[in-house]
Amino acid sequence: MNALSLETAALRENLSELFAFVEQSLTTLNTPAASRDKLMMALDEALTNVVMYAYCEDHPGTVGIHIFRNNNTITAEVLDHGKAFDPTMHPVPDTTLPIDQRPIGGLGIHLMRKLLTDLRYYRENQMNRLVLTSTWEQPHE
Amino acid sequence: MSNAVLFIDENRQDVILVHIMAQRLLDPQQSDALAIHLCELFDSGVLCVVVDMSGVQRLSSIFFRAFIMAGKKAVEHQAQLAFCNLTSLIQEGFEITGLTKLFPIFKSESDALNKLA
Repeated sequence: MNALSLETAALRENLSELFAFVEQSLTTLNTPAASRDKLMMALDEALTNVVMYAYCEDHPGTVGIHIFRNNNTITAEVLDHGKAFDPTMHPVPDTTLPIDQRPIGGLGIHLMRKLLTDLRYYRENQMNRLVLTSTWEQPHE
Repeated sequence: MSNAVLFIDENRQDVILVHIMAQRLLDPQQSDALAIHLCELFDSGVLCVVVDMSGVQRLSSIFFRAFIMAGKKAVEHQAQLAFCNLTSLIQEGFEITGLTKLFPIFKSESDALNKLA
């Protein structure tokens, strides 16, 4: 099971390259359209979070991504050496509040959780490892 | 990604249609630019803005921030912000984040104009 991988500097100007890599990888792995679209949206969030918030501006680091397929499951790992941050512990936003009471942010992690089959976080050797999984039903033969 | 034209405004029967010209709304700088533009429209006295998302295939939640900021500005001016032509995936994103409860969503531009103009 080979992973498609990319590691680059966690900079705003590299987001396009990261997003393109995700799209190309999911296509290469023959991901069904519905899962592909949801994974792309979730990975857009995860990668943007690392680039925007993981590192201090004067100490930029790297972001890595590995994507692999096992039967009807795609797993993507997003890695960084920035500040420890566990999105799975992030509080669920109240999406029923009226506009004048709505906080501006906090929706990206909620979106990831809802779009994915599973979202897990590990802190290992000063590294954040976020594991995003999408599983789809096998078509009946 | 930030240098291309992001949106074009069209004045239709006192409704400003903001046509999004990018297929991918992922860039934080673009999000800031769109938020500022929508807020400036409301500050200038426009009472109804419809964002036409017909060309948009991918959308990051940083744009939901922009829409909520603009929505707050619309309420401040007793104006209205609406959306039309969402793909099914973006519609799902709006539903997950509760934006469908905050803004009118129309299937098409003509549908929006019929209801709002």
